[in-house]
Amino acid sequence: MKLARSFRFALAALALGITGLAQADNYPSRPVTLVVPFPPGGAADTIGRYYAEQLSASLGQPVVVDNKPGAGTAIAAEAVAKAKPDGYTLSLATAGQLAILPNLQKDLRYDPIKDFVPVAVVASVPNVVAVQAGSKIDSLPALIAEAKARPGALSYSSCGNGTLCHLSGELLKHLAGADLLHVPYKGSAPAVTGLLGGEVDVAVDTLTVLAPQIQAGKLKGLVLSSAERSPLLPGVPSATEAGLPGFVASGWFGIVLPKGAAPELVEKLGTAIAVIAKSPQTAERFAQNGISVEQGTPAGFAELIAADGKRWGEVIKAGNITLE
Amino acid sequence: MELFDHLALGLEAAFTLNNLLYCFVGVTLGTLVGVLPGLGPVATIAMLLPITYGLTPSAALIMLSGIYYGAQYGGSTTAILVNLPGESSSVVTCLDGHAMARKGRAGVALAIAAIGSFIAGSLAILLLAAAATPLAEAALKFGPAEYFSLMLLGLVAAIVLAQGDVLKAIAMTLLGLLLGLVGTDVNSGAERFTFGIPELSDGISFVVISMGIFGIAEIIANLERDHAGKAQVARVGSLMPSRDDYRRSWKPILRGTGLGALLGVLPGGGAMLGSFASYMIEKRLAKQPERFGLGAIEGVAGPESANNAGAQTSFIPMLVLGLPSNAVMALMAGAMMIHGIVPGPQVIDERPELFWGLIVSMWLGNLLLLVLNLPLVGIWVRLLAVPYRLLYPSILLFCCIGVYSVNNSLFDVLLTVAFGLLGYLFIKLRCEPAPLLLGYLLGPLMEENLRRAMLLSRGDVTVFFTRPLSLTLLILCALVVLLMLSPRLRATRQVAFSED
Repeated sequence: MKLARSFRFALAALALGITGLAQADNYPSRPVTLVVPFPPGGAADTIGRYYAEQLSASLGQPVVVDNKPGAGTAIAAEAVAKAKPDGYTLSLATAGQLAILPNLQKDLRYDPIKDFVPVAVVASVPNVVAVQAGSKIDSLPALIAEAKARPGALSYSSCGNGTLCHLSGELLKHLAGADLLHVPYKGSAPAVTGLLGGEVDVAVDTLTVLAPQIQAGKLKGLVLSSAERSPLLPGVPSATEAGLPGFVASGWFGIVLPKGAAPELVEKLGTAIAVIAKSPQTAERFAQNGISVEQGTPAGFAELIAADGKRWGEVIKAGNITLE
Repeated sequence: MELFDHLALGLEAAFTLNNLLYCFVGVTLGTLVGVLPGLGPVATIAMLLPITYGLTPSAALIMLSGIYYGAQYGGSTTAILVNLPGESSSVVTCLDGHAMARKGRAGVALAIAAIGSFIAGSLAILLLAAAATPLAEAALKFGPAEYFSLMLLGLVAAIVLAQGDVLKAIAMTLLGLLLGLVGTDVNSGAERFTFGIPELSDGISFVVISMGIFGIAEIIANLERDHAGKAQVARVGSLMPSRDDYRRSWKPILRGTGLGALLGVLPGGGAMLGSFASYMIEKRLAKQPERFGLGAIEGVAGPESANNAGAQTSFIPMLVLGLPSNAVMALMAGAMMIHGIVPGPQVIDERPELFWGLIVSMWLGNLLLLVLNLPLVGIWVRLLAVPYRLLYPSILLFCCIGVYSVNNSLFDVLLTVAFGLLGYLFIKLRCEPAPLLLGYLLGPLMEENLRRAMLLSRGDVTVFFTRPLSLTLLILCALVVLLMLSPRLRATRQVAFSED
């Protein structure tokens, strides 16, 4: 009897094992994880959660957000780079993670090009340069003139050292030939509070955070780092209008898979994401927070990562920006 | 008066059956979360964010905020019963609250904490309703120089917190400062003391240190002290505060409310400062300061009121300016975004029923919490009678779950164990952990603000003395140091703690 029992167990175990093979055909057959490299409650997290919710509906399996904040998105990137490429781990990736951090940190444990398979860009947010409502500076030329007249006298706040806000500020300085003192804060909220309180003269931060303040009249927007004006801030000129086309830069968000993911997987996800991106509900939901919906192909995303990596690398070198 | 109109609008919004239900759910969940050591409102709110998709924005915000201030009520419970601070603001409650529990007065401590919190919450909400915008604007006047001076004051006065050797207290504070330095420097982005471990690049989390030094170390020490595993606590006395207790407590409650409410508005770390400040002021003002640390009810009434008042007023920067001042507020802002509301200065004008409904339901929540917690005091106290050999594994389990829940990181749990061993060492060496925690909390903030103030003043040190508010705080600092050095005070300390 003992022999027969163990034989039955073995058969059962074998049968269970074989079911694993079935996954390849009906992906997804269990919940999927979407890693978000930020703590819950910010713009990035909102984008991630929105896509998780929509993908759950379209893929038929729950997509669960896993917040892995830390080390400026490096912890999440490392975790995803090491994950299995079976399609059950996706990640929200940002410009900071894939284009900026690799240029700043020499000992990163992931490679932005080799360790990930880009699926699609999903959103982008431009930056705004803002001053206090009562400031005597009321346009970008005025800011540049003031900065040139008194080099180093004006200060600008950013949401952190090595973040896109910081690098946008440095880009502006580089393009305009102006010298402003950089004052880093721990996040967008303290950086904008610093401007509201008058500790700094200028703030460079995302449209999402600055739009409500400018709309309420507490701050003035000088320029938007995009090619066109935003419907949220009709009075703020775009970078091209202001004569600085080189200032056009956005913080983008995209979805990536770990390296080695099968092309069919990439295509299936890419199609699902494209459908969500095209829906008017998405446009509406993102628009009020100043987030632009982006659509693209995996190849296009790969190009964007490479191009931005080069671009920000130049800004970092030109501005001598280090993390030391 | 406009205020009454607003409050009427709020009452209408808050008293719908839906919102009442979610208020109840929120505060109950919050209390539970606060009681469980380690698991805090941040993790809970993060977990529940997706569930709020299907709710109305009002109900979502009401529930989530209920979790937050409910956790303040619950956090005092573990602090008093098992010397485990659930939140950074409950650290101070551990000192006298647990001492009272050891004397059999746990029920009184819990009751006074609940009553004080309710009074503080009500007054703070009134302040919030009447003066939210002016308070927010006033808080903006607090620049980095003022923050630095305020925190220096807090740090220097932390020596007063310690019961014993001044030298040991200074050493612990410095150690706490060093622990706070671990991580990434905000001004330069350089990593310090991280030894190349990425999990350390954002610093050591407060939960890790407090669970380790307070929780695990305490368990080790208790087990060592009593091998039989019997309960450590003296027989439980009456559950309700006596008239004498009330007489001693009402002034600390009012003072704590004022301090907590004002400090809570300051973006970044304000709420936790309130309870520390209240404890120090009560100790200064008490007729017999030697009682502090041994079970003085003022040491529970004041800080508990301060931390609840701070919890209510910390909503102000988020509601009025749209700029979250701590992790929980950032989550609330996120919840608003999920519901299509853009957090910002216009929320009050564009969605008044949301703003005022939230304010009124906060008061309702506080009332519900009082009603919930007072009868529960009896049950909590009975928990102390559970044999320790059953109690401590569950505490350990909850600590580990709590620590893991902060960052989903196993590394954090291992680090907690390491701190547990360190904490045990401290107990053996008779070093107080409270100054270490205060140093750890204030140190990084002090450094960030010191360097930012210097950066903005272009290297001019006199900025701390030329700004009036900063100067006032620094003068207070100097006074505290002088008082510490005065021989009369030293003599009193020697006499009072000669038994220690």
